[in-house]
Amino acid sequence: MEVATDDAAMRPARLPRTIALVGQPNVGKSVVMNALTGTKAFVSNYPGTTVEITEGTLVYAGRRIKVIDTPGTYSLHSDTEDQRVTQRVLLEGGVDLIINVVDATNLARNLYLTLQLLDLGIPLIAALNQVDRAKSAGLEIDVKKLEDILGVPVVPLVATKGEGLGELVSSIGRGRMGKPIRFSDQVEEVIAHLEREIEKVIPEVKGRRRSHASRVLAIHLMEHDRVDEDLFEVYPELRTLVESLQRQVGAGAVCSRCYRSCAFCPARDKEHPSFPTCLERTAQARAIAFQVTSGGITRTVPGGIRGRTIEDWLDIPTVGVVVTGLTACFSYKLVAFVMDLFDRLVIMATSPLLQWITSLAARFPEGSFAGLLLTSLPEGLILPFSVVFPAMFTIYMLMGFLEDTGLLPRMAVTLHRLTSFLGVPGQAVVPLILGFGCRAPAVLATRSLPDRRSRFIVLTLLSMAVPCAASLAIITSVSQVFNANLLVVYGVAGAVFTATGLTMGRLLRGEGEGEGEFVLEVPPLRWPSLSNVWRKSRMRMSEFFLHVLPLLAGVSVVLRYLVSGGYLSFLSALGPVTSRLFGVRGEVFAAVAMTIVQRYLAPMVLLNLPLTSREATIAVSMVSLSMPCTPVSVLLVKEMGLRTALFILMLALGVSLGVGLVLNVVLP
Amino acid sequence: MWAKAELSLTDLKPGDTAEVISIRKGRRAQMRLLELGITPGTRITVVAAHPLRGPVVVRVGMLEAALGWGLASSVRVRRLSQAGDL
Repeated sequence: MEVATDDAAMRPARLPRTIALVGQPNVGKSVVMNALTGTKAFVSNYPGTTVEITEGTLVYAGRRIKVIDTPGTYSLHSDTEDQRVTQRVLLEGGVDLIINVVDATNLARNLYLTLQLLDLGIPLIAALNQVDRAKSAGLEIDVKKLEDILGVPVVPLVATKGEGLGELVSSIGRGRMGKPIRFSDQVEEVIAHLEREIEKVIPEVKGRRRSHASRVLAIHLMEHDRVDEDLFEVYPELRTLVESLQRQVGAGAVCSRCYRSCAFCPARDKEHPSFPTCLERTAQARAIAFQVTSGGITRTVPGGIRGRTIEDWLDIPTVGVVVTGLTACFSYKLVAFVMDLFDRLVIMATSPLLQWITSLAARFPEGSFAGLLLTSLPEGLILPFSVVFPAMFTIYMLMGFLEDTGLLPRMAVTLHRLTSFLGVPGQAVVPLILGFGCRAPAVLATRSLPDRRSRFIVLTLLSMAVPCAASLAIITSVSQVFNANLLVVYGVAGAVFTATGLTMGRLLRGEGEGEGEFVLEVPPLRWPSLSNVWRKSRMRMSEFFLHVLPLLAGVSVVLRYLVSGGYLSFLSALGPVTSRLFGVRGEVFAAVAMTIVQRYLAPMVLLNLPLTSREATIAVSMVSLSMPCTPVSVLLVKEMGLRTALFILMLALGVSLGVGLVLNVVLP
Repeated sequence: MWAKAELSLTDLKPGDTAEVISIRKGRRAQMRLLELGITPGTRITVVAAHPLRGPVVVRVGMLEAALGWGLASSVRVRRLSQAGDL
């Protein structure tokens, strides 16, 4: 990048090409993002991960500037999947301005990240958000003083009201490297030693430019105890260095109290902290916050009933449980209502067209490809529009609303005790509740879970034992017609859910994650920004149209072909076997098997068969516990990889068959 | 007298304010608490304690955070004031 003097700072030549928005969770980053890039933003997965990042374009002074909204992160040494993405965006280079969104109401904690960002040597602007909330809490922040201490421009904002956003945009040419902090002499000695080691393995010259100062790398190494694959991808040479340092510790040549850096720690006594840079940075961030802030926190501790805020009320466990229950109930009713509405509307709107298509298809000879295409394509397209689309959209709106108000984390806290039996944190409730509406968005909602293990458990439960609205419709309609025993059907589903959850929670325990270390920030409640909720839902929906819809249409054609070509009729030949094993006729088993490829076809087949009540009970139980529909299976592969997805699907199939076997023995 | 005693965060009642003395858990847990601004010396107020060893909700400055019971029990504190003292 060009070096410019201060008076040239406003020249467009110094404008950045790529801006990264970086900030801690719940600081209002997405509102800033919205203001910078407007509607031109889109959501995508960060390569190789399932973490959503938003990218957009800011047009300023005739230039198009890429803006990346990174996942909220508390620090640059966090371990969770989405927080690591932020580190990777910054490590990989290419970012030439960081806009660090800082929450004025939690200055000390937010400055911790700011101080880490300053180490990176990337020009930075601090956007001091929520100054209005800070003010109403009696906190006055001296912006000028903060600018002097950090050495970067600080722009005060009230992002939700749009105040200060203009100033922020016009300051993007003024980003500065700032003044990184100095640690205590002892720590600086360790850093200097590591720097020398790093410079030995990665020489500055040799045709390859080192984009990070050795100081950043040294500090980074000190703060990561696990082998940092992200860093090694960028700097493969560091792997050897780290491994040799670890050997020295392992050989007992140096103290093992702290991590690799302590090999050179001058204070080799028993009491020295294991991550000195982090502790010192915390202290410095606090000192800075203290220096620039006047006025204290006057908020009183909740004591009596009077003076309690809504937040205080919601924090009371019993109130939390009631509110969570009501919210879940309302959400489910709303999704069911919207789905029902769409079902009617879409069928009403498309029935003339469908009749026309059917008459057209009739002109082609039976079994011809054109006829097949004409009948199957609308099937593949109507179902997504009448069932999946409204369910996903309503759920996305609800989710956005709950996220935006801050109710979602409160619900997670309230239910954490319950979900911890399954070995998953409270956040898991969200995808599980969503699953009763439609499992496709529920699968995507598992991304908010902190680790892969919890996601695996929740996804298995979702795919297998949580009946979505469409499945529930099948269950009720078939049960009504044939007088199946609903108590058995639901009882079996509940038992499978509980058994699976408890077993998996127990078997997969012991990764150090889970209930033992549950930490969740509970942000303040606020009014949701409708435009924000709408924007988020819309961006997430576009993924559905681009990836899921074409696939569903394709699968629909293939299925039609299989069914009309009689390729599945061999299943009916299994009649003697199935009636002995599961107590159902071959045709019924064919319907059950059909759910492997497309669940929605099951009722069509089942309703056309003369079933006994017993047969219906078994068949419906098997259908409701079988594998999820095609879109969900596809999403599973996308989210967890082929192997894990196949495992989940096979387990579901196994459980379905097992339930058939058991019911055949148990039922009179 | 109680001001001197070292307690666990899970011993506190909603409304109690305390100072963190130490965190008796691994590096990962210490880091997660550090990110929320909870280190030795930090003042925290208990907002809610969920029943049956459920999470403990604390306030640090203007921030609220929920800590799982296991983690909360590893946080050693000194009580500064009890609910109703203010």
